[in-house]
Amino acid sequence: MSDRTERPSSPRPHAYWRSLDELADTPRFRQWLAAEFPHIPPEFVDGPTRRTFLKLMGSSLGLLGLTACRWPRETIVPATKQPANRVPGETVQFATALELGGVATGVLVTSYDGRPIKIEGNDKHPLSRGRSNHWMQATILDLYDPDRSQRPRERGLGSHSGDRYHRTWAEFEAFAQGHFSGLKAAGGAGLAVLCEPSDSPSLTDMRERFRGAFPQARWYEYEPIARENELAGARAAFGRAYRTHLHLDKADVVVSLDSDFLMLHSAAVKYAGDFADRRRARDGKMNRLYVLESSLTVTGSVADQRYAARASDIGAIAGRLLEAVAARLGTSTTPVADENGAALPETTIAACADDLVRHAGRACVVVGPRQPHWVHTIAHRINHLLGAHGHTITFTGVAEFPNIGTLTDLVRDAGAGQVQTLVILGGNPVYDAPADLRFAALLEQVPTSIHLSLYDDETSRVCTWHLPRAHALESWGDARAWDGTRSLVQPLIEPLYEGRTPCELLAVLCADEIRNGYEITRRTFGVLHDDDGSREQLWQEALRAGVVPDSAFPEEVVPECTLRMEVTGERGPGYELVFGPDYSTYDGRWANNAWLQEWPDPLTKLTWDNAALMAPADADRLGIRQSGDLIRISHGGRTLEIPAFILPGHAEGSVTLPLGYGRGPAAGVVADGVGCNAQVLRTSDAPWIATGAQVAALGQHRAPATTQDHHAIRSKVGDREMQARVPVLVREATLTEYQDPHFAEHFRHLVHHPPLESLWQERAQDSGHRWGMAIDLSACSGCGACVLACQAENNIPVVGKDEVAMGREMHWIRVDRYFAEASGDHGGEQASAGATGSRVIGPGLRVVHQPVTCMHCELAPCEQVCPVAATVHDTEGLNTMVYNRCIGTRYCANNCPYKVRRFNWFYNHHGPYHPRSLKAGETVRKDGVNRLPGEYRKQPLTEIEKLLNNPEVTVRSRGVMEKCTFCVQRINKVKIKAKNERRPVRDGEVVPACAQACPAGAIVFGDLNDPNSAVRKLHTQDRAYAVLAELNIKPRTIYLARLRNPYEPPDGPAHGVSST
Amino acid sequence: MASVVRDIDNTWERPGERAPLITGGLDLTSVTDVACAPWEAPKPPRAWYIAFGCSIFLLVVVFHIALGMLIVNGVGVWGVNNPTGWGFAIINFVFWVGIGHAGTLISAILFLFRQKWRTSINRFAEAMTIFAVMCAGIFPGIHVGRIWVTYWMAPLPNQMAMWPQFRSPLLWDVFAVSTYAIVSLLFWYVGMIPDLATFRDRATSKIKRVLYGLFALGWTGSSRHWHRFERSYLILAALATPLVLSVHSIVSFDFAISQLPGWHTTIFPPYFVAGAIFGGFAMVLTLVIPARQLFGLRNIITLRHIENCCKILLLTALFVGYAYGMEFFIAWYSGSPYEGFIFKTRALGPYAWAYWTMIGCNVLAPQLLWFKKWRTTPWLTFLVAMAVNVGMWFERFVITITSLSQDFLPASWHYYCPTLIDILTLLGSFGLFFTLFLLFCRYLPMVAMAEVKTVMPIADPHAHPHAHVPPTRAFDYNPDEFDGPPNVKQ
Repeated sequence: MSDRTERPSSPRPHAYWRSLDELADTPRFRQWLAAEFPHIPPEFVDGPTRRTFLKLMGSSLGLLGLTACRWPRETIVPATKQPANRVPGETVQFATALELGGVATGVLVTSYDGRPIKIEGNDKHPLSRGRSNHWMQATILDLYDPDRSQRPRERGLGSHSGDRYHRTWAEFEAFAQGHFSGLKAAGGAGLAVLCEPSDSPSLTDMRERFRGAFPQARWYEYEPIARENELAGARAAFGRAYRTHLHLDKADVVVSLDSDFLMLHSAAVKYAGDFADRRRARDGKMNRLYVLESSLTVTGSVADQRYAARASDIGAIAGRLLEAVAARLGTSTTPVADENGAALPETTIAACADDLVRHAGRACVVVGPRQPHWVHTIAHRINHLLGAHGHTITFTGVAEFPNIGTLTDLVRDAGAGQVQTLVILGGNPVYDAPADLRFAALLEQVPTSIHLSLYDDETSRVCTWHLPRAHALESWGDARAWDGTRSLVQPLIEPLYEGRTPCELLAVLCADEIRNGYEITRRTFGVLHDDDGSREQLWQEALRAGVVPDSAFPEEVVPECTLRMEVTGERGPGYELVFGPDYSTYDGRWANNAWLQEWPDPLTKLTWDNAALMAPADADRLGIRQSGDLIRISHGGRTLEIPAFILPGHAEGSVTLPLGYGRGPAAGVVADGVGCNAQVLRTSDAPWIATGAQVAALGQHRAPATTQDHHAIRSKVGDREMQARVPVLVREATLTEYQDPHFAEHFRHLVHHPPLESLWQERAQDSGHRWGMAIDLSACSGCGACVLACQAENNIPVVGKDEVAMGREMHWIRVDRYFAEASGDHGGEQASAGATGSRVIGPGLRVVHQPVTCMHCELAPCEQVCPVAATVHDTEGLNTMVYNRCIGTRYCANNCPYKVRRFNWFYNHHGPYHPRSLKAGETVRKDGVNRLPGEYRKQPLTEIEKLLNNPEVTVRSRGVMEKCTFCVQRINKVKIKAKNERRPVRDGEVVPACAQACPAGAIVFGDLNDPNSAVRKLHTQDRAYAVLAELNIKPRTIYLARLRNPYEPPDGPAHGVSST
Repeated sequence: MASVVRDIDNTWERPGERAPLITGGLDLTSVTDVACAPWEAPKPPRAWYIAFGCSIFLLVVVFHIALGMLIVNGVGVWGVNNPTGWGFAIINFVFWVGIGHAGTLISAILFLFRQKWRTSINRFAEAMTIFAVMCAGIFPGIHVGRIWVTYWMAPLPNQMAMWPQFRSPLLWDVFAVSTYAIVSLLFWYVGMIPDLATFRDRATSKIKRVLYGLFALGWTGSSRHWHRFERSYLILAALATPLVLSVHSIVSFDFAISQLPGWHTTIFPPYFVAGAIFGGFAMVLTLVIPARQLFGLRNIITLRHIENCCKILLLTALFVGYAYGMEFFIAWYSGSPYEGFIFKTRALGPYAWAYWTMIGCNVLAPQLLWFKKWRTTPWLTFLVAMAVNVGMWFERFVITITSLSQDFLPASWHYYCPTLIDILTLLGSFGLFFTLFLLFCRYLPMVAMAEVKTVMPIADPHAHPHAHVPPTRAFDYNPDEFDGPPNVKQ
């Protein structure tokens, strides 16, 4: 406080100043200047004296001459002792953990000469098992984000409250010493901490220490995407909070009520893998997934039976399902149905209940975190009746700490003037707090507020102090996974921008004797007071493996579920608004991550934007002709203008609003102005589902940047053709069809063509390696982790919204998504309108996902047309791209039937339409056509951003073609290693980035010449087919047909789920 | 300078009589006078200045801005996108190469077939060929991503010991177009030598005499010169004739060799050649009709010439129309669903507007030429020729864009939309073409005087008196030509 320097308002000696020079001559200004720019010698402020002038001119002349005739000199200090096991240029992997929503997943981070370049799942971690998701993949880009906060900042007081000054950590510590010692004397009265919930043992420990130091301080937690309904539901059912764990590997029938457990769950990586394993029908059996949801989600897209219903009707439907299940099991239950439950026909519910009961013990019902707690309670009751508890569903206890308030409590207390000093550890409540809490206004009233965050964001700008937070890859710490497995978080690199962790900040605030993150973590781990060294050994092992053995929460046996029903479903007139995290930006935390912004949403394929998702029928009703038409949503006196997106399979009467967009300049250059902020409609009493909203079309259009289904190319003939083509391109079969002994022959003859013969003698392929890939469409959920893994591995540039809208995205692997109409009724309902107007979409709508990447055709059509031989085949069958030779005729891309080649239309790092190349304040243009001279700028990568690039992959420049290489750098690395060890390459040793990331294990890569390789076995499977094989290009990538297991009544054809 | 104010109808056909190819009572001297008049006039007509101003603006300002933007920034300044890797650049290339066909056809094939009417327009047509091929030649060079290494397409010895890839039709293009350009240029130049000598002899200033003298290669009109001239001209005609067929066949291979639906068809080579002749004749008419008016050449380029061009235009329109129909038939007959779809979508899909523009301009508009009035009224013919010019550009648009934008996997389909710079590049190429053409009109012999004279009745020793041959002046005997073409004295 004492050393705070301020910019002078009006210099005292003069009431008025005549020139800026005069103003600049005041001592106060000089003092300010010295603090602001400590490196500038004071002479520069004065006009140069004759002496200085001569000195400057002389030295600049000397420098000019020197630099012209010499290389710049750099001092290189070689390591006198090479660190053990460290070879320059050799990558090293470190285990650490990444937290999202307070729950961690273990990862392995690849480090190249001290800089992390790639994140993979940790195969020793029970929840990642070597797999990952798109967020984990993209986290690495955040580390090198030049927009991250680089220094502490302080907001001026009094008349300068708008100005913010750079500070050093030393200055903050000096301030904190004064300020917090005062608070300590007062026992912490008036002190409050707002923290993101976390299971981190160190943070818990620091919190208790903090409370010890400030007994009267209050502690609050807030997370915009919280799972509190789930805990409340468990509390209502069992009397205390439990965390639910699904065992999808044991479940034959899964009913999901508005739960997107394959994507939006802390254990989604594990669930996706477990689920996919039961979809492959290895032993002729597979599970069955029922999904009831309002919007179309990734989980819904892989369901066997999917029904769309308004989110606010789902609880009532769950109630009817409970009744139906109870009736079949001969137990009575409180009738819970209200009229909303009629949204789903009785026969559907009966069929579902039949199926559940028939698989009692191997079935489970899952409820999404959006649903109110009583729906969770109903599900617990159903699961109890089905005997799922302890089998397909297990529970662990949740440590509930007393005296932890919610954000609403904080607002109440602060409004009552009880908070004088507020410390916000992470999060961004000014942006993501419910709109009715008016958090920003409240924060303004708190005299001292300190915000620790990665970005100098919306919250930071309102607080009196902003402190840069260390990125997870720069931090020491610990975390717990969904099942409680404890992981250590270790830094891969020194903090790039002076960031610190929340634990380190708390240590400063409570003047702890240990302030270093490493030692804090070790203290929590119990290494500091370790007598026999066993803890130290454990620590070393945990650090190496990334997990602390046997640290998972113990499984608990829950008491019988008691049903205390309090149906509170309401249904007013108007539309229902459903809020949810966005697949790209989540709650907005990844808004500045250009990879995620350009990553196409799995269902809408929308990039660089969010939109109000709605059903086609609603769009017709509102007069919305195409996706991108603007609508105005009004609810509770708040309005939002947002483009609509017409999504087949969306429930009628419902509008889904993805959060995490519409952030301003505070979010960073990339996020600035992207999308619309749906938070403005979100209130604390209805954070997930709000009913009674008004929606009106505005008659304006904002072209969405999608990577598929561009409106302009659509036509009636095209749509019809697509419907005809999709079943051939993405082949599907029901389990019953698959069990037919004649399946293989029927399946292979979907396309009729004459025998395929070659004009010339083809090269023999039977010696050496013959690399190939297999993609199991049954396992693939379309989650898109492969897209980002590939981007991270292969230095793929981001091109910006305008370029995506023009069809110039650079992803080497894409996931094609098609909506297909029903081709036959497998016992489910066709589209029918319920009495309440909710449209029920059974198997009538099908969604298929197909990851497409270079197939490395043996007779590659791209190679024959290149005039300069820039794309050629290698001896192992890889279709290689020689960037140096490429002149960019683009004929190869034209001749590629899969359209997987990507061209660098501009210099793409950062190209002219990347947000970083736009001028400050310049927004993305409306349409892609008004390109004028002067608009083509490029902003090269900063030195920090360049650190991210994978040195083993060429960074492509303007004018060359690029495409999937099957991760040739990884192949060669393994080959070299095997050669050095004088052994053949083992199957499964070469894993391309996409295959490694895929949480479902849908992508398998290997040597087709190895008769025992996994990929060879898949290539010869009866489900295997090659897309466009009739062109005789002999693709090396094959697909395994997608299997579906729709419900078939027992009196109908036999179905695959064993009923024993 | 326009000595004739009215077109003489020489389009009649009477048994036993030949309609004159040169009207207005021109004899050997006055033909030279009329043909040299535009060059000898102290100033070109005002329309020339206006046209030249526009062309040079398009060339210098527009073309250079467009190319500058392209070279500085990359191919991304165009509207090309991921499925549609080729856009205006390739369309323009094929368009200009096609234009270039009529010239060589007129000068070489019609020469071999002894079609005497070709002589009045062959110089125009050849000049058009040269300039069109120059325009076309720019595009393959600039459409590549790395313009600075375009020369890698040429088989030059290099430190990488790399040859180009001879399986690629783009490489065949390099050879085909460059061969065609060289032979056409030689053909044009060799044919022009006697006329350049005439210019030299009639030059009024020393600088002109030196320059034209330089290019006339010392032509004296001796019989040895004539002999060698005629031999070389015949050889070049024989060389150029297969090129007329080969160049556009090979250009069509750029498409036909690929496996894209709508491109991968065997009909392409003849279809492209017919289309090129069609488009080339339309461009000849587009150039000749205003030029004969402007430079007073209506007695040399007569209605009969225009009508003959119209007949070829009509014939080739029928070829092209047949090809359009046959593509549909084959698409259905092949049973390939991808092929079938691409033709359905051309007619009914998002680019239907372009397809029907093409049909309207290329198939329907030329049907007007069944009427003699449309063949013999220059401005009506001009309208049809303009329609064909537009239609032929759209033909290449339809072929290139529709097939690329909607190929095998529907997820990749994407609409192609040109940018401003695409359009400026197209306009700029017209600027280049017309600039060169207008300079040609002003500074080079527009009419092959020497050849025209050979088809005049007076050049025929066995000529019988002709109804429309007026009493001529005494033959302007050149004592040097003592054993030149048979002297005729009447």
